[in-house]
Amino acid sequence: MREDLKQVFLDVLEVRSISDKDSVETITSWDSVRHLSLIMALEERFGVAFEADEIPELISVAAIREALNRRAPAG
Amino acid sequence: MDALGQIFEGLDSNPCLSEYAAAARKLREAAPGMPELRVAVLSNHTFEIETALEVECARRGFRPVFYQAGYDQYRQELLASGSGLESFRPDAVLISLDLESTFPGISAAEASGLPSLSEWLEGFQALLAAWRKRSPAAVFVHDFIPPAVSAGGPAGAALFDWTMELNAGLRRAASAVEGVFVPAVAQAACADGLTGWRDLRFWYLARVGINPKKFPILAANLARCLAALRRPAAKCVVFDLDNTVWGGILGDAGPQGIRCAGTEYPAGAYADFQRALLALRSRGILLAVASKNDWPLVEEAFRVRDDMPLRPEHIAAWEVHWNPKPESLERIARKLNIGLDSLVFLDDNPAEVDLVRMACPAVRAYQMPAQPERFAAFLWKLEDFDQLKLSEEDRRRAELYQLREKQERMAAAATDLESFYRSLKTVLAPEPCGERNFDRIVQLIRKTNQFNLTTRRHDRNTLMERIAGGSELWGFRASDIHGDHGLIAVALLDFDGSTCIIDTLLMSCRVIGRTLETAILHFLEGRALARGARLLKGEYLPTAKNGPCREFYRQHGFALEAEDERGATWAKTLDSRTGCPEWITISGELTEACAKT
Repeated sequence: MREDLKQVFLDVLEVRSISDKDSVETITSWDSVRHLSLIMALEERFGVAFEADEIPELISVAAIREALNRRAPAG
Repeated sequence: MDALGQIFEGLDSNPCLSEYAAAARKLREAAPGMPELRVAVLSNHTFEIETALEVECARRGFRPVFYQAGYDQYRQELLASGSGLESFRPDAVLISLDLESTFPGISAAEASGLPSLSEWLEGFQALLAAWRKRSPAAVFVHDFIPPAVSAGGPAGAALFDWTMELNAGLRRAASAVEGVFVPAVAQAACADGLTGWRDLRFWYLARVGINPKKFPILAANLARCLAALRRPAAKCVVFDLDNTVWGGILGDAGPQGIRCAGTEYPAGAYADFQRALLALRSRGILLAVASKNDWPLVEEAFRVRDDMPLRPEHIAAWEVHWNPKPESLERIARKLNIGLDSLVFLDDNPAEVDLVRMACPAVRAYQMPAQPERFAAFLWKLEDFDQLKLSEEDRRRAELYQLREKQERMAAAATDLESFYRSLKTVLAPEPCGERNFDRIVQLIRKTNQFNLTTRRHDRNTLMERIAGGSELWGFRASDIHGDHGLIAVALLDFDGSTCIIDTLLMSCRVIGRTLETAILHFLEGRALARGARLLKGEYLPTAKNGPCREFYRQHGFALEAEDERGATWAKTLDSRTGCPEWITISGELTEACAKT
């Protein structure tokens, strides 16, 4: 995982490590409130805006990476 | 730069939410021992500001401990006795109300469909008053953020105007309830650009009323208010003259050549800065001059340039000579009888500012911006003068210092000290702590440094608990032939069997050196006797500033009981009572004595 993306997860979810397999199921601090903070932090950091109807779906690291890649293929 | 400075510098270069989250974590590690402030957050929309607020509070030297009320539970929390809010015992309550959440459907309302303001405002004021009756915690309810767009076409801004009227009404309602303040967030949002303050995706998904991407700005505003609750405000602004309050070098340009009056550039900008300084003065901040100049020339400039707003009588202390400015600042502090940390120093010369920062680190020294048109706004941004509530005493402080100067001249003229004391005809009026004087008592406890035997900064909650537990909290007013000095001293007495302990005894520096402390002790001994005490104990806990009262207990016949690096404990039996100086009348004392016999 690219370092800047990883850092957003670590900072916002307050966890020590994060991997591609993680999701709301594996990280207890990733609750509905933290989910919004995470989405906003990602938008700010990568200068993107997710669609309102995809935000509730972005509940795993893999889904988020994919959504970011769709917007910025270089990532 | 220290560790904290590095954290904030990194944050300010990239103020985004993930950086705030990272900074909050780093700050907890880098500064674990910061003093705490208990902050309850109430809202009627999804409002998770804690992380950003924690960082902005740490920037101002304290750590908030949070209580987050349930979503839209603010009315119940404020009204219900025994609510989670009440048992949290907050020092401050933050209320964030979102316009659409408070008035559902308002965003689409046409001018004719806007509801009456008075009904909601009356209800909200009653809610605040009900809370304040049960708790001493200050309340901060930020104003409503207006919508970026409104219905009504290009010439219609009815909802925007209505929101501004609502905010004005909110300020009126808040000022009617003591201890309630309205942080000016709407103006900050307008200045930043309203469009970004609401993100409708998050509003529809999760009822987020304020876009969290704006939390850094919002949190800075709120933290500034919270800081003003606990930090003593600066008491005096010391400024340079050349290229600070006027344009040009007086020594080169002469009195007629300096630019300080009228509306043209740059003279108008300097005149406006002078008016900004005068606005500070009307808030009770003293003005003082520290300038490297020839005194006769400066005197002449102030005399002949009567077209500039600043007049010589506005200045409480002058240091105009060629000696180093740190010396000037020390003399000003001595003359005005305030600590160096009560001074703000402004100069256009970076070398002077650096020298002052190095030689007098307690002074808050700032370099003026490069362009004079930015001076006034620069002054308003300084948080050092923030004070949440202007008491009557604050407004009159500038006046009172002038009075003191007059007294000093009188003291010099009086043939001996006693006849000076007698000439003052001082009256001391003790009064038990109550609703009328509680604000001022808490303010004195927070601010008094010099004549303060224990420097215990008790907050409102603690004081109320102590009174409920049987302690006595007294305020003392003083007046003399020159007028009313207001409430100038505070004492907190604890009782333990036949021992009375002076937990707190402090007196405003305005009235040091008039033997009022002896009269106060006389009164306190009377209280101790009335409560059946035989022994009176007191402590002196030394600080960097309370040297002026070091000998208080020794001078008043107390015996040293114990002493360690923390301080000294003193005691005296109440078999013999300290006499009241014959030149001070204690009001109410006579009737008290009569009632007893």
